[in-house]
Amino acid sequence: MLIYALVAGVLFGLYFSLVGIGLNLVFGVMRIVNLAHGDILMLGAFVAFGVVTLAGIDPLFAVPLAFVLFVLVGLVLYWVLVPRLQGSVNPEMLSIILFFGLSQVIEAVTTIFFGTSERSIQSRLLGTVFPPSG
Amino acid sequence: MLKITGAALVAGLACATQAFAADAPAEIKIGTLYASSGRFASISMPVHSALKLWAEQKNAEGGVYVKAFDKKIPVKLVAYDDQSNTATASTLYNQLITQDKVDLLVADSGSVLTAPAVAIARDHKMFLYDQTGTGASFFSKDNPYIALMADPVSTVWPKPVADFVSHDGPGLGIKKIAILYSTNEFTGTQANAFRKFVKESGAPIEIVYDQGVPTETTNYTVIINNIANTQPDAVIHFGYAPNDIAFLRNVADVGVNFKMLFAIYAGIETELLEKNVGEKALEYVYTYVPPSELDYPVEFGMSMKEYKAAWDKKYPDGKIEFGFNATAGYTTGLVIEKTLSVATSLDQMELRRATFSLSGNLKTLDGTFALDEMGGQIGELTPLGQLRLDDQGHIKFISIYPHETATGKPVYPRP
Repeated sequence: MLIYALVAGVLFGLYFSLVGIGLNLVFGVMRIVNLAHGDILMLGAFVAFGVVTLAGIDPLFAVPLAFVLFVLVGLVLYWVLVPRLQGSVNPEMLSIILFFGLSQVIEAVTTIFFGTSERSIQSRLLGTVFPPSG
Repeated sequence: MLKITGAALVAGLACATQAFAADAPAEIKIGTLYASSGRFASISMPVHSALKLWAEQKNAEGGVYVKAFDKKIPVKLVAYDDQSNTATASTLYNQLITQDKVDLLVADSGSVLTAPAVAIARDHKMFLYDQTGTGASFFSKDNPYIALMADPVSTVWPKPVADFVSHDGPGLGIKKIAILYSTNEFTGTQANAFRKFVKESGAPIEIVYDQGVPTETTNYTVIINNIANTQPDAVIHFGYAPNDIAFLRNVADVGVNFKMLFAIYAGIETELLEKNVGEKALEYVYTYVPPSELDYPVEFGMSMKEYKAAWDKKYPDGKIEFGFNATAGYTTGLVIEKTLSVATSLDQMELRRATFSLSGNLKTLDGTFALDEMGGQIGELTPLGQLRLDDQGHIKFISIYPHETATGKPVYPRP
């Protein structure tokens, strides 16, 4: 049980680190405050949810799928928004407003398709390293 | 002379009737908030959807009967999305009162999002229809502007589970208990009340773990490890739905088998927890028995069976779970409907008087609506139950305590 807690702690730590690094990278390199960062993350989770519930296959397949999908989404967002933002007087402030709007759109669309309640995939779909301690 | 007097009387009566009709508003504005996203969406949307269902049903019948104008008037829900944010909720409650000038104010679901409404309603002398905000601090003798609609105050909720642990527990072998709760008005109050009931019972029960954690907690693995180290005979968890989901998933993942495990939302929002936790992880969990499992005699509004059918017709996609909160929202609608049918004006204190006059006399699918002098709900029951799986692997409720309403015996320890 203690080992499980340690593994879970490390995984959570890695997860939040990745999220933080992504946010920091976008702001540090492009001077854009991406308030929709968490919403994109949520969409990634829904890709995993969809892969499991609709296709009935291992959630690991969601990793390459989500990667390809969100690279495309990122490129579209980049081409459409970033040059305009960076050409503006105050890209930081304008990006806050713009990505707040995008975040609202993502949340509304997700609510329409998936509802407002929590959705989960089974914890042990990926298997378990340690047998239950009983 | 008689003819002149008669004519004058008829003319006067006609004028009075015209004035009475002219004063009647085109619609009764009911202001409320909901959370379409965030931590409280799963308890807010069922309540709001239920209120919408009630309003649409009434409007299809031409509105609700309003005694103050002696006619049926349509209701209009003025609703805003607070996104589970208390600061946004405060702004929107103010907007409903000062800008929209609603006739009736209805709080969002849950104590966290009701809390801002309590103070704002009181400041504006607006009577608050508190749907499910059960925090004990909301109800005081110096605040006449609140009444709780659909579930008992948090100080009453945990009485059956505390009584079960105190009275039946020692006989079953329960001597050490662990209490884990989320630090908010709803679950914090329940934990305090539970602790008080157990201590005052004088039962030979030792509390070996008593810890509050932030409501935003999503990973309980270390906490579960700490609880298990105290070797409790019963674990009582007071949390909101997302807390229960995370806690029960972690308990299953870690593989620990607590002898008795209590969780509020296992019974309150069973559909939601089945989807997120799975039936197997809910088996043998102790919880509150919801109104849908208790066949209350209904004297006003739809029966539970009729209401479930109406719900499934209106929300066929199953994106909003049918549970305790869905019943609570409909109950609020029924209380408002009945209040308007007896209130002689839309003055806020008259609405209060009318609402309180229903206490003990209104029997809906949610049980008997009864208020204490401070507006706290005391009529509805929260018996203790245990979840079991039937032969098809579906969840079923077994009512455990009090003994008068019990439908079975507890399985202890959990196999």
